[in-house]
Amino acid sequence: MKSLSYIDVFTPRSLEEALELLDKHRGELAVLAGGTDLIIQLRKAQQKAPNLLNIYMLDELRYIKHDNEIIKIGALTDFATITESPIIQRHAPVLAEAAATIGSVQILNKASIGGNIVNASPAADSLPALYVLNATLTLRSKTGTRKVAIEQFYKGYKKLDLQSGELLTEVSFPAMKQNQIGMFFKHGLRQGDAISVVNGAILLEVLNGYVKDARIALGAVAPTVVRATESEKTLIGQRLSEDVILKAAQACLTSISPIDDVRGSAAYRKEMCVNYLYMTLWQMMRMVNL
Amino acid sequence: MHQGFISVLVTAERYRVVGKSVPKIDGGLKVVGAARYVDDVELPNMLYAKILRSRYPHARILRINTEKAWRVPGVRAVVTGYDVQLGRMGILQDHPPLKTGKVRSVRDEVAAVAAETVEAAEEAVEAIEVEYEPLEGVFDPEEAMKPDAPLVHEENRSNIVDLKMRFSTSDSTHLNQVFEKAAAVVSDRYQVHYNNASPLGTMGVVAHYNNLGELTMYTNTQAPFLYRHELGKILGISPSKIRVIQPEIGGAFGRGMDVYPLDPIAAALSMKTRRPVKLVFTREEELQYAPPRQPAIIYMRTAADREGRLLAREARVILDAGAYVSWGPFDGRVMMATTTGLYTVPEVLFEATVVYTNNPYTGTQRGAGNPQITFAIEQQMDALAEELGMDPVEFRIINANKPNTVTPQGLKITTCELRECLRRAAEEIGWRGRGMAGPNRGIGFAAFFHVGGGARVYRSDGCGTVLSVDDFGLVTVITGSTDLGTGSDTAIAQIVAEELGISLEKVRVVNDDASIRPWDVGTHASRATFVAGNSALLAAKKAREILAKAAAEELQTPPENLVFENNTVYDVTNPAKKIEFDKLVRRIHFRQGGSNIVVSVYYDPPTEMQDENWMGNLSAAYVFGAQAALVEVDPETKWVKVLKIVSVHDSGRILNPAAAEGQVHGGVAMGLSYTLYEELVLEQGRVVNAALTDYLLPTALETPVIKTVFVEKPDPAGPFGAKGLGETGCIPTPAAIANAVYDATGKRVKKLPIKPESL
Ligand SMILES: Cc1cc2nc3c(=O)[nH]c(=O)nc-3n(C[C@H](O)[C@H](O)[C@H](O)COP(=O)(O)OP(=O)(O)OC[C@H]3O[C@@H](n4cnc5c(N)ncnc54)[C@H](O)[C@@H]3O)c2cc1C
Repeated sequence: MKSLSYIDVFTPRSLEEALELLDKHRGELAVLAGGTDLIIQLRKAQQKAPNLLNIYMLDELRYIKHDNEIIKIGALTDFATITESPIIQRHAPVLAEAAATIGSVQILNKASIGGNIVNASPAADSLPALYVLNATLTLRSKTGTRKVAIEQFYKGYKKLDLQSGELLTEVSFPAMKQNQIGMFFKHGLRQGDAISVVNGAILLEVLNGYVKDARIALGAVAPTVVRATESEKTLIGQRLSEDVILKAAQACLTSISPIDDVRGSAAYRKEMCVNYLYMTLWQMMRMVNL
Repeated sequence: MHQGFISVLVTAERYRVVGKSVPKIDGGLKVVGAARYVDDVELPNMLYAKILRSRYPHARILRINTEKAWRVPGVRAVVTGYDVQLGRMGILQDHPPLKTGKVRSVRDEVAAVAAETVEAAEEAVEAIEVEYEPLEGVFDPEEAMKPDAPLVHEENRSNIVDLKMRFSTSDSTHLNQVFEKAAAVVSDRYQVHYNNASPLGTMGVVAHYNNLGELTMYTNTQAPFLYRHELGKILGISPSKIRVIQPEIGGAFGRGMDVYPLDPIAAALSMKTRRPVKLVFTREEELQYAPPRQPAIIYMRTAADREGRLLAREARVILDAGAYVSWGPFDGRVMMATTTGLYTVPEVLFEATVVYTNNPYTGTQRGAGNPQITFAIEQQMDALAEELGMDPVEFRIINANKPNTVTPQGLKITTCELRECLRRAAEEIGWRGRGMAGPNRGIGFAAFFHVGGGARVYRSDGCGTVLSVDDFGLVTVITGSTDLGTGSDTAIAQIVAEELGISLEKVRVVNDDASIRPWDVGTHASRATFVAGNSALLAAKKAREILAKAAAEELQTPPENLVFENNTVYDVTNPAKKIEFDKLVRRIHFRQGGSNIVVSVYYDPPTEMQDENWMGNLSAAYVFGAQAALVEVDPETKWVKVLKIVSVHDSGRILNPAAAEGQVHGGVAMGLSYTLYEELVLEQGRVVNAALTDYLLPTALETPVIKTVFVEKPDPAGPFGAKGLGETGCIPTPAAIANAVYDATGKRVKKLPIKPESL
């Protein structure tokens, strides 16, 4: 464990000031939100830690809004708030479900959605839900504002479309429609406070008993979260049946490329991915055909 | 038998303190965060130390250059094995605290630094330059036994440690004949893994050497007297110059049994600087460098006749000691006692082979080999019952040991309620037979056996007590015994309060400074309540004699009429004739020729050191019990969910039911997590999951409903009939869960941990 006592911490009082500082110290500051990823990484890192821009005080980045059928979440919003939010529970229950599985109570209270997105762990639990919700990220810098679709944001393992001087300020997505249902799944090695061995989210749009649109995103099985496009294709235009969902579940193997590590072998991850997709689709089939 | 049991409980009603659920006497301070642990010890002018470990699991040290470390601001001492003279450690004297010439594992200590801050010490340690010549390592004990394997200790010419633990009732030809003729035989290979004891308090020490040549050690050892003796030898100073102070211990579970390199290293740094030096592990260091539970490879076969009687059992165990021998390999002795003693088996052979590798050296941990060997024995019992078409509970009851049995190794079993424990376990879990637990569910059983009345592994198995009573009736019990957080101090206080008829608040237990306390061998083998309790009871009886003599004079009545109760002493024939306890003490003190009341006793249980043939009655009492596990295995994910554990214990009379239940709950959680979650994953001898992110401790969500049952048959040798309890909760859990998984899935798990992936 490294001492971090030598680093300087800038604590801006407004977003403007934060962007100002980021601009002035271009490339020299790391953004500190809840710190549940960053501080651990800095203490373990071999290199000297950078100075910090502590944005944790910026309450203007804590909000959940329902604005013209668009749900907007401020980047600093913590996962306890997201899970409990009536807006999220009603308009994006798949995200509420995913958020509830993040760490323990302490982590839920401290961890921000922005941190989860920018930390870019392939196993991050909010990401599959944000993928299937077609989320857009708002990135601001002193000179302007940029919007990036979440799928475009990740360029490879921990490689991001984020420039120095830019801050993630908001994540937004269309509210789910009446005929859309979504579910999240997570497989960890224990029940409490577990890191995902595989996770995923499914969003289906159903019209007259047929799947009109299907979006499936899987985590911890590739360098970034991936869409299971073959599985989606298998479902679109079909009525949900045992046969169809089994085929869809198996089709995910073409989209994933997991690795072996302490948490599980690649083969095990593949098997779990198929099984969980099947189990989750099975539950959704029951909901649809009710 | 049942009659006896009930009448005994009626007698128990008479007790006022013993047998009651009282809060732990050390609980209050811990709850409010005021208890002081080693890490809370802060002394003026204190320095902080860090250790440099080997970069390779096996290498020659060519050169160490500490120059750059000295240049880090705040550094006050840098030591290597080349510039301090330290003796070797360990029972086999095979372990130098600071390594020279060669390193044998990645935890090998190469140098250490003391500095004004932890961070400076850490920076300095990283600045030390060491040149190594890497050597081929050996990480599999079976590989290490081969003649051409790389040698961990060249001077031994073999990796097989000269520690044969072998017991047999007859020669192998005869044994083979028994197996050939038997109606049913099961034979298998089992493998159990490394895990970390994970107490809240990590390993640590504060060493303070002063200008008078006195060394004070603040430590969380479990055996302060042996520690003092060993440390003196290593440092080359007289143990009488070493003062050992134990602050509160944040759990130990066996990890505190030995002296480890950090102890002499901290002492050496303090001797160099004449300043207090603190060396406390971070959680990552604890996971990487604390001695883990002894892993084992177990080849076992068991034979039974058609009626379901056991005929023979053979166990050959391979114990990977790691690079040095600490307490871990001695788990073999416990494995042996359970192999020969859990059930009546006429013919047994047990053999343990201890092997050096370049893995972490092992320690002993709660149950000390018993969870490991019980995993094999109790799965074989399950498989044998099935092969014979018998009910697994019935089959165990047929073979269970009975009271007043002598085992083949000469263990004298006195009280033994194993059969009743098995019946209760079956009843409480709702056992209706194999495959009847419901879809994807299964029930499994396992019995256990352990020492519960001390264990003579040293020349003395004793514990001393000094008891004094002050003028206000406050009784101070200075015990040799160490409370690891289990509640043994509370049990001692209850015993003394009961015997002297005073309330629990009137008893104080003192045991933090080993230079004041009378001797004790250490807290291990579930012995504290039994041995220290008996010692305290003897002391209380002695004090009571003095008090009774004075009270008899005062109340003009024969001493045998006196009753000690409710902080008074009265005449049973005329309760109006009475005197308050504290007043009585003052009467003895404040008079011509008066005296104060201080008594001293030493209790050494009637146990025997085992001879070279592993014969001898190790303990003055033995404990038994059984667990039943109800599990559900998800067919898609193979996730094993433990729904319920029933844990039934014969530990004699339970002195403090709430505390006892707490011990069982903790034990079950530990056993369950050893079975399903916790594993130190090693690659080339290095722990690759040395952080709580991936070292999976159980959370409240992993802990199932635990039903605890005590079958209370007071043991004549125990204090108020109590036997040991501290370790047993975790012993049968792996086997019970494995048997339940078999019942649910038809799959036998022979390797721990049981991961969804392996099902
Ligand atoms: C015990 C424990 C359990 C955990 N369990 C889970 C779990 O179950 N599931 C899961 O997904 N994660 C888990 N995590 C990881 C972590 O809590 C989450 O990823 C969390 O969302 C990170 O948010 P934070 O606010 O703490 O981010 P920080 O640690 O402050 O930052 C993380 C990264 O994002 C950057 N960053 C943060 N905010 C911004 C911003 N607005 N703009 C630009 N860059 C930014 C930082 O510079 C840093 O690189 C766990 C962590 C711990 C310690």
